[in-house]
Amino acid sequence: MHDLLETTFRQRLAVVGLLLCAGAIAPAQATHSDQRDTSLQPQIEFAGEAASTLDLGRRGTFGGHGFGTGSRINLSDSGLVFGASQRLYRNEIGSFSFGGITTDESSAGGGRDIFMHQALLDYQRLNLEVFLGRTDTPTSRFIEFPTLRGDDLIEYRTVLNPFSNGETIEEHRYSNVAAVEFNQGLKYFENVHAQHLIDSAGGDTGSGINSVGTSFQFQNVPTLEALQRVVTYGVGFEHRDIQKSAGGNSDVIYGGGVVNLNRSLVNRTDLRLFAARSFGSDVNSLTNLTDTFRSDATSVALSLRNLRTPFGQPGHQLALTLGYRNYEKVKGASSYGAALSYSQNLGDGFDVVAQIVHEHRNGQLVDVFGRKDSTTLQLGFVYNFGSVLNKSVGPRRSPVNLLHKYIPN
Amino acid sequence: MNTDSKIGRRQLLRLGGLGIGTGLLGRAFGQHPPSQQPLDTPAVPWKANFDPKGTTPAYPPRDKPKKGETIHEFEIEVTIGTHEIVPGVETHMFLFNNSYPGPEIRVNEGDWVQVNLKNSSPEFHTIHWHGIALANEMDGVPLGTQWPVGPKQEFRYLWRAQPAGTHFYHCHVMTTLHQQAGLVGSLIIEPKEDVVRKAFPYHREYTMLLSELDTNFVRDMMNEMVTMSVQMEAMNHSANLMREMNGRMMGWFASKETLVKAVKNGYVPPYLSARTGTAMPITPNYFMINGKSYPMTEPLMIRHGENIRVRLIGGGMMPHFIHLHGHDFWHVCQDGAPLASPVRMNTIAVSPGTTSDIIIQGTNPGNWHFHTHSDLATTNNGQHPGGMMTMLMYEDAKEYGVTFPEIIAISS
Ligand SMILES: [Cu+2]
Repeated sequence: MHDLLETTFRQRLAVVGLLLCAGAIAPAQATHSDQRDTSLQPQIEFAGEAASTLDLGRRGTFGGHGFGTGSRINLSDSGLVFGASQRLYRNEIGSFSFGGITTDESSAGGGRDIFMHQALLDYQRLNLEVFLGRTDTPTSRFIEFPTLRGDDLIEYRTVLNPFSNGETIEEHRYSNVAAVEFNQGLKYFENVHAQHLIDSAGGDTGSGINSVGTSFQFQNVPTLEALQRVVTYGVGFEHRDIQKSAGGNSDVIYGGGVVNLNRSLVNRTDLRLFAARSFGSDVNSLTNLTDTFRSDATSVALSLRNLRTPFGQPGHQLALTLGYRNYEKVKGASSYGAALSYSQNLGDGFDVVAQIVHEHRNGQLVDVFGRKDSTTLQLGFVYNFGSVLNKSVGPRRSPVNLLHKYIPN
Repeated sequence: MNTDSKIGRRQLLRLGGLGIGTGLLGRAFGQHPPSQQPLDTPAVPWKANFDPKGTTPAYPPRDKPKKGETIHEFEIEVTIGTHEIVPGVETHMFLFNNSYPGPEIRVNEGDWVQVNLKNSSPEFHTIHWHGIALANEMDGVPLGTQWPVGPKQEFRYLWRAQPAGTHFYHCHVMTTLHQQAGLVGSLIIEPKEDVVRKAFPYHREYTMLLSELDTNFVRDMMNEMVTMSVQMEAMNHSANLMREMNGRMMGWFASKETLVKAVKNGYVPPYLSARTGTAMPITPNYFMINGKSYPMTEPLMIRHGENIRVRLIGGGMMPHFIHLHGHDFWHVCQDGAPLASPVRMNTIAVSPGTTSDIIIQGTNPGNWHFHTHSDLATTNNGQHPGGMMTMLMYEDAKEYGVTFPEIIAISS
């Protein structure tokens, strides 16, 4: 979903914070100490993002598969996350998050209505974080793009899941992850992870680990993005274990970043970039969607955003996101997409939104997707919200912790 | 001193037993004959031992130092630092001279005081001299009597110490946060002639600044403040950003009329913006005496037969009811000024912004609890015992055959 204003952005951070900085209620298997104090309650967090739009025109996203291609009321990508966090004994934080989001199928009113996108246990201390469970794939959370929904123009903005059959777009954004993340000064992060990418294409990986990777990312001080030249940047590598008969192993290198072109508190313009190149697959013709996720490809996504937040006035945002993808081993197969997204803030976290998306596909892609061009106009509302009960756990990456002495508070 | 009569009366009570004692007391009141006096003539005339002009400052507040008059100079620097309330509980705070509470300022009545406030934090601050009759410009109210002191700025306060007594000082910028987050300290002005010392000769005295902290509120607000301060600081170095700065960002308006007009034209003031949700209440979870919670509070030391003076300062946002075990004490001063007559009590209410001086007399050797009876405040994050609690300890208790276990309990 998009991040419109500082407030909205903070709400978004709250969700991310929830996923990454929270503490856990001891489940049944945990050691129950006799000294457990019933008067103490864990921090409880709720966060949600809701998007509901009237979509006019043909939608290109994996068209012909999953949801239909006509005009519709689209309520996909609306989700709730519940979390609990606790301080542990040695200045660590333990947390649990659980949540689901609506899919394209939800809009149709049948099939798989809710996709469990979060079920995560997280442990963190100053220099280390370990997390295990269902959550954002390490590549999809790398750079956030200011489109209306998180899956708009997905084939350009993240690394696609080569095990997906294409029916559920969320399979590209969420997976089962086991990760260890080291950091220096809470600004430089090195992540090593293994994941089970959801295998709906019917490969032979079952529920086993089918992908391993590593990444490095720099993240500047949160809440001060408006003033930073470089907000974030990073690079990563992912190895996917695919059976020989399905084209064999595939590797991906990717990188991206966010820079401010105009640092400003009231009229900020920033640029986002994400690029990925996959190699090693033998897939050289595109007969179904899975082939398009597996075959060696180079993709680039670029987004220019202008955010205006005059003091004491509701803000608004205009963003242009462009994507291009080229298949290295399939002659003439390429696609591009563009999204022009506008949002106007009506209240804290509540926006009215409009977006026009155009996608164009060439070569063998036309048959796979069922059409060459598609254009959709979307009008609706977006709402980001969150609440924290029994507040007792502060975010690890707070401005005071980063700019002054770190204390586990 | 009337220590003897007090003990005498107590012995009487003990002999009679508590039940009979109270019974007698009740009967005595019941048997009192109805007053024959007209209602407007008190039976015992009120000894109006006060000067109706007594609140007039002794020295004209707008005077300036004359040649030959001494000026006491103090350097006070504000920084962001950390403070430990009890072992393992550390919090980010604003600090006066790297200490919470700030350094105690103690001068003689009539002395000139010059305080050079240096702001080495990224936020705005002032110092308000609570209870002092000074020139309006020195009162330390941001946008009320002075411009707030910005990062890297200095401000010189100059005032004459009056009236005498127990006072305190605190930052007056966003008081809910700044004072709670550390910017408070005691200010003692010694009188030329101390009626308290005359009536109750003493050598030792203690200052107890009472305050509370919501560590979660302070953490969240400090983060917001620091974010905003960094933005302001960035503006100072960028013409572009400077152009964006205006009254609206600060919420500053030239008059009520300009604010009304701005709201009519679509300006969303912070309180309207805040109306979009429910405000989180401030719920203190640590309660401190001089910045420390029990068991890290300092005990008061006394010897049998000794008088000690205790200056209680309501330096927080909650009222507290300070109770001493095993003793009555004398309430002698309120907000710095001596009472017309000492009042005997064993529990004294100390409201935010007030100060109360009491005299404790060493009449009952032992190791006695001295704590707020607002029991929520005798906890550390909800765990009893803790919080606003200390001990009155007799150095010579053993000589009187009193024994007590010398342990620190942090769990009941
Ligand atoms: Cu201040």
